[in-house]
Amino acid sequence: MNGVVHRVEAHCRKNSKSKVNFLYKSNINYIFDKYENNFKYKKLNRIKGYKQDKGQYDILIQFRLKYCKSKGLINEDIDPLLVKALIAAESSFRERVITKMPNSSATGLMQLLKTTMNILSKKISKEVRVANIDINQEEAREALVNIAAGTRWLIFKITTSPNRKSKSQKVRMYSGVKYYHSWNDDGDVYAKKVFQIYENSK
Amino acid sequence: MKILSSLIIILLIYSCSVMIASQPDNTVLSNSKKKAFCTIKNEKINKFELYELGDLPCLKYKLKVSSTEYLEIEYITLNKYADDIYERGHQVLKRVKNNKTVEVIKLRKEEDTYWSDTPFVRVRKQQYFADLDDDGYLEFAVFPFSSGSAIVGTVRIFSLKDKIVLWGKGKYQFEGDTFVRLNCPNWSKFNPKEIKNCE
Repeated sequence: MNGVVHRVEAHCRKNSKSKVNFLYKSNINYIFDKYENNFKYKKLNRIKGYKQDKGQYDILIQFRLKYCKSKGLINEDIDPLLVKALIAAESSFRERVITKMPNSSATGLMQLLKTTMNILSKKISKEVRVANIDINQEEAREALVNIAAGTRWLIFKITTSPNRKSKSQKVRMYSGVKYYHSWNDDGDVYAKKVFQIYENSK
Repeated sequence: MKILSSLIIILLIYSCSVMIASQPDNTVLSNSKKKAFCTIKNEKINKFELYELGDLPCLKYKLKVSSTEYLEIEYITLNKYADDIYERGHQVLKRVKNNKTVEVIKLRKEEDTYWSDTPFVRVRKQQYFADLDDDGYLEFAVFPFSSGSAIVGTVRIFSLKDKIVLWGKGKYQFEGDTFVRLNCPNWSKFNPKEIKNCE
């Protein structure tokens, strides 16, 4: 248990030269159990048009966003409703879903690819240097794990998009959502869809 | 007479280089319901290596054009400790002839996002080079890869002329496909029906 606590405390520390600590599924669960009560949560709006949204993930989403902000991964608040809109666009709130698209590994609520999981765990590419998460595809079918990795990925995209220094928060968020999906024109189509869902549900 | 013989020699050298560049590599692709495999023969151990879904399959960073010429993609490190991901480095495309670098192209433009990787991918089935427009010059594809929830990315296709020039764009399904799709409709999710409309 001591080892787990050590990794948890070191996680999300923003220091590119620090020794990397990986979060595994057990750590993600542990963090939630230990720190859930450290934050306040509000009731989020339902996503319009998505009956599957019964508010079941509201606390998980808010927790991950607040926790990572508290650890310095991002300096601003991300509206948890935006993350819900992204989940609606990706999976329609079906947490166990694995895409039926041929040759795709998109998994769970936030449709994480195995390629993305491999980047988060530094198995391919070393671009994510802190707050690394090491999970497999089966684990990504669990809501808590999927939201932890998905929000980490979204935060990474917001803080590394070409518009990361824009004065407009909406532009920064839009870019993060776009690059969460794709860096080319398809990403714009996707971001517009997510923001439409988001605006309709405000 | 001298001019004629020189012309014949030049033509011979050119056709040889085209033949070398157009040769298919030893790859096999097989699909099952849940996994896609792309295998590349490892010449050193004379075995096929297996790539699983979630890897980036069938990538190359060096392409042989002829016995004296090759293309290479290289990551130039500027400051590997930089907090800003854009300041850490960038990828360049190099053209090397007779062991001399004759051309260097910075791949990422200012407006582009950072890329995790920029490998060569097959421009046509089992071919890293192909003359796509029948103009006598070979085309090749570079895949600027930045992972997202989309499984289809955009490749940049270049033409190997006296200078390397941007030829166009294509689509590439990076978790399981093995060659570039041309003239595809735009899509955000890979649609098996729509890909029938691609070449």
